[in-house]
Amino acid sequence: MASVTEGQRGEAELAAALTAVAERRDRDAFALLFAFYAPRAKAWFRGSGADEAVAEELAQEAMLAVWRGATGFDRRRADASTWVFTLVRGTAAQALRREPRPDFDPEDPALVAEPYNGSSENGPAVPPPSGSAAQAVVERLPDDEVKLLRMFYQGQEAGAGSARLRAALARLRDALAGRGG
Amino acid sequence: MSAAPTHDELLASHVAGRLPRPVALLVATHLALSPQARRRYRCFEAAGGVLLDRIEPAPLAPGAWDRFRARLDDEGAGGPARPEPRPTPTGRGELAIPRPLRDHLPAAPDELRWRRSGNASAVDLDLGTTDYRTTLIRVRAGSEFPKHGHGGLELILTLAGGFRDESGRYLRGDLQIADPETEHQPVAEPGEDWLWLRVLDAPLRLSGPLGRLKSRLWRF
Repeated sequence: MASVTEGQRGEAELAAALTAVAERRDRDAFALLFAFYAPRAKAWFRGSGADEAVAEELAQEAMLAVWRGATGFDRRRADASTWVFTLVRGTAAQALRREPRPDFDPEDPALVAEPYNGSSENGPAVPPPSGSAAQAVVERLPDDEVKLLRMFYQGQEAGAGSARLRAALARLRDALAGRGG
Repeated sequence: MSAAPTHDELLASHVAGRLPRPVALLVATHLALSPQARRRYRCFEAAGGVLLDRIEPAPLAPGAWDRFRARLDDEGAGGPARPEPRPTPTGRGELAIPRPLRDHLPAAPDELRWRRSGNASAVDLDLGTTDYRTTLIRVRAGSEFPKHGHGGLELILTLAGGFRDESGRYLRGDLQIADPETEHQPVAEPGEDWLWLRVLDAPLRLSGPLGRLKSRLWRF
């Protein structure tokens, strides 16, 4: 198991494992997900300010959320890591005893849907960015910018509101959405 | 908040789960109304996935997987949790106001008790904080909202109708971010009443003669 945590896993492999968990509660598939995501979730919580023991426990909680929520994973809507990230974020909020953050509901009839074609002034409809596209963009960013972004995503105050963070966010968005998106 | 956040910062902050509750409510409602904003939001969310993916993993304590497996045994054979079905909106007002705003109103959209003042009426929302004021406001079509400056951040999300000010024209789903630098006089577009959600982190300052006095009497 230890060797698995070191390497990277392909999106297809992770998404297939999540689907197996959702469809058949497949524990072998979950072992792969645990080996990959639990040490990353733990590192994430460490970066958010949790100590070693708390981060270890929160990683367990986050993985339990993955197990319980696997049926909510929809690979057409998000990549495996993007989806797991949202659960890690939820686990962090819960640990801080925050209420769940208000969020939009994609199934709400009052939601304004994406236009079908490029006729609107908003520009052509595009599918959500894939994790591999995001991966490529993040790989091109300088290391310290990646670090800055990660700290921001982890909820740290340092760097928030800085011009460098703004520039990094704008670069991410432009690269992922295409200019004018 | 001294300098106003950019649109990108608001969206990414929502992805990161770091917005105060009233601001998160407004941004999430903006996302429900604007497919364009949702596309940007998905970009920042995908980036969150990559940042997690590429973090230097922290070694787990010995036996972590066994401990986890034991917890799975305790979970029992019960199927995965399914989200509870939520009531479907039916009223016309409900369809104009998407989730999550609809869930945070003090009453059903068609049964709200508005307090009136001149051409406008308002309903305050209770989001459990005194750091922000969150208000649903309706301004009669074609009428002016008083010219004002800002003590802090003002977020304006247009839900129906629209308005114009010195910076441009804003329609359903559009978000305007005003800060202490901004002084503006919104004018509701003709036709439909302008319905909007406002989040403020400091009182507005009315401009012009007697502005200070009027600020104290003004009920918005």
